[in-house]
Amino acid sequence: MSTSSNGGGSVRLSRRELEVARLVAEGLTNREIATRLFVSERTVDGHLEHVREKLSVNTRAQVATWVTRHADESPAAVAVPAPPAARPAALRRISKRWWVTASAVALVIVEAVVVLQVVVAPRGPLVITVAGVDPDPTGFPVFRYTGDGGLATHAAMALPSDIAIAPDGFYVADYRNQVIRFVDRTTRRIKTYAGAGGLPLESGKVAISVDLGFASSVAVDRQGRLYFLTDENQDLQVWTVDSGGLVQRVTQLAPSGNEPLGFFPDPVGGLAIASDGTIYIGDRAGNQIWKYVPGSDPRLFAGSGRYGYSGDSGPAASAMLDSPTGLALDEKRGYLYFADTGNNCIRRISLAGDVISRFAGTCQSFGDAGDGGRALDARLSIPFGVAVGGDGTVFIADTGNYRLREVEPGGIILALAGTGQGVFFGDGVAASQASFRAPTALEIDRVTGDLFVVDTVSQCVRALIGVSR
Amino acid sequence: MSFKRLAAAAFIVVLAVACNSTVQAPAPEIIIASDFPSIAEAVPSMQDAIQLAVAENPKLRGYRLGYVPFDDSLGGAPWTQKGMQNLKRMFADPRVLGMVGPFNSYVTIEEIPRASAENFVMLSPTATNICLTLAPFCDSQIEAAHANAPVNFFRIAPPDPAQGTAMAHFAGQQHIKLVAAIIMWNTSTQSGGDEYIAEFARELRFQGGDLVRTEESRNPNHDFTNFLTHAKQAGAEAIYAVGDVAGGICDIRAQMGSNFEYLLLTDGATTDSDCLKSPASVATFGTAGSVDATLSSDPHVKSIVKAFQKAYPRAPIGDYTFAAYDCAQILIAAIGRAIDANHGGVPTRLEVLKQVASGEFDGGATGSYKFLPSGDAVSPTMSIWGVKDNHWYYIDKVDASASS
Repeated sequence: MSTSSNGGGSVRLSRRELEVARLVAEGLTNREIATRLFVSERTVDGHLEHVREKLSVNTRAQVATWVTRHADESPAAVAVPAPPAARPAALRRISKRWWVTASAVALVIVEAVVVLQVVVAPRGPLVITVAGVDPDPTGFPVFRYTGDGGLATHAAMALPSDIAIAPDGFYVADYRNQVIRFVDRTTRRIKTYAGAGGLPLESGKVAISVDLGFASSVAVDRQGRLYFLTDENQDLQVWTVDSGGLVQRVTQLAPSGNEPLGFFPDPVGGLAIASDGTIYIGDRAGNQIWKYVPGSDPRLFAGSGRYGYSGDSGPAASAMLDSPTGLALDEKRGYLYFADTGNNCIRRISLAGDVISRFAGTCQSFGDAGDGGRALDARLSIPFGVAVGGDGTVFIADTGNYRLREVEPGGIILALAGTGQGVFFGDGVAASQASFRAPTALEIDRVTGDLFVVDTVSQCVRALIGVSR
Repeated sequence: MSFKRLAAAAFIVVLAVACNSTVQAPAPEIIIASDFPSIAEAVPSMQDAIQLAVAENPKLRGYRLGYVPFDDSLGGAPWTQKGMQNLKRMFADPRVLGMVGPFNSYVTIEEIPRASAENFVMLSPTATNICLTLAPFCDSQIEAAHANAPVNFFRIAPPDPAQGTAMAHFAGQQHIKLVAAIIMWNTSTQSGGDEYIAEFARELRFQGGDLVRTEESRNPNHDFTNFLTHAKQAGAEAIYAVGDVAGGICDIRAQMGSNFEYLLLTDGATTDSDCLKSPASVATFGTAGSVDATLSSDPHVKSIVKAFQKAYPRAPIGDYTFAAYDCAQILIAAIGRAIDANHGGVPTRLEVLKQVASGEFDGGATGSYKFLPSGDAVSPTMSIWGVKDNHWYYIDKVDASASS
């Protein structure tokens, strides 16, 4: 609940009403809000009506004004007692010196409150869940596979590992269930798109009828076609699903020693597709990144194959990496970013010269430090995911610290979301108050600017509303 | 100031300093670590048990011994990459000469190559996947890791298929001769049922019996009447069911009627008490991968249990508490022997590893151990449990090593 004063009275907006009010203030229409929040337009109408009633206002502009003035008030600020209406007679006799002292004390208190507000007040974009519901959000992960045909937010997934956003919705690698699921952008309903069958994975088979194996990574090309990376007898393979719903093998890499075993295998690697169809493949177990241009053989793009850290400012193919996972392309500026997970850092490779460089984190130490300073000096911990915004801002899933961080185009790293506690909290709260059990893959919805986050251990996909510029 | 006042003042100062300062224990010179997921219920008592083993050896050949537990879980689940990060921390501290763990097989399989390259010994009380030690069977990754580096992973936990061996030993003791086997796991992540059956059949033949029929069932209806009919026709007096509740273990028990005398189970079923409420007349027995030291009548084992209970009176004793204790004692003994071999100097990690690989370690709470070249224990032990009055009860410790 959000509580705020409005005129002389106290106003209580529900979490959802506050979300709607904030999105109204951002200038979104009801239809856009419905899309963002994955609810129906009618539901948004209802919430907005309640907001108007509670605020005693009539127009969207008045709602927006209220949000600007009040929505970010912290409970601490609201709790500051109001001064009495009139000074009692006894107080009038108190000396001027007392008032000076009292004023100084009051000033210190007010400053402390302001500081507290800055430190603890809700900040950042709203975080909402867009797919998946964890049957036991505090316990040891329980695996279920339910919800096809219903709302995505009611479906159960098992340790989802990646997401890819298409024009008409998004795909989720439901890793432990060994399927890929799709959530429709308009209806917000979920279905199984590939996997769930027992047939061997062979070109020309119906996607829904095959056994995908451990397909940990997904991506879409310019046309919105799905690609996925899976493991077949330790061979990394990239597959696609054609317009007829049939799987087609795209390319295959040599065995790298990946061994999906048991309860929760690490992701096979990462996948990114350029606008010209070039595919970049992160081979986690092989400590390498491969480049596949359609019509040719895959060629080594980065990594000598030995795990470790070396090679910055030199040719990427000679550098040592450690368990590369999440990949993200910034074609505008000519870089492939990747999460060098085992080295606890983010590195990037110039697409033109194939030169590798460190981007965030020291790559030689880990921890949780450095917000507000140079990204190169910051400490990260087991980052699994990376995404690049339209303005060049780089978003990082700092998985081991249970946080999301962002690196501004100027190279300064900032906290974006997460309290640093490895628990699930905060559906519909500001990013600074939300917490994640294990944020891994990231993807930006270019249509809305929302940043999607796979919260693997919470077994759901969450979104930070309107993050990317 | 008089002498008396001066003495009193000095006494007060000394007292104040003594009261205000905490006594810092000197830093350990040799450390053993553990790498377990804190989320697992069994882990706190395992860490207590390792701490007890260290406390019983505060000085090892004159060196102060310490224990550092690591947590390989992230957000409430064990994560391989967290374990790998922990390894980096262990490698970075030259005082850490080995570790107890990992807990989970899927973490272990990724850690083995990294630790092997550092000659870093790992001793697991819990990781049971067959591929961790018997690499040629299943995984090029482990085989490649040991191509240029020594086997560094050892375990006292028997590999999963050894449940078949253990159950066949028990079947021999019960004079069970003819058995039909069925694999009924109903999960894609469970595998290796064939190996359970193979180990069971091999050992059963050593015991003078035979496997008369084998089937694999992924039957969602849990209707096993056909299998049971064929098993009876083949002369089976017992059914060995490798599976779990989801695969139908409870149902086959109910369907066996009075046509069979025994149902022999793996550890997939021994934890489910609902199974036991369904009417069934067969004598039911199951294997468990650990040994309950608290039920031992051996005075030495009893003294270990008593020491643990005294040190940690509120700690619940779990299935692997004393297996962790034994792993810690093996590691400590190996470090001690390596110090001796090194003429009193602090040994290298490789020297410790070699002592684990080649040594014999008697007097554990769960057994006495030495290791095969693969890293498996020569004589791993398990427990056999039986059903009485709808409850499981402990029968005995059983040798899970194969006859030859």
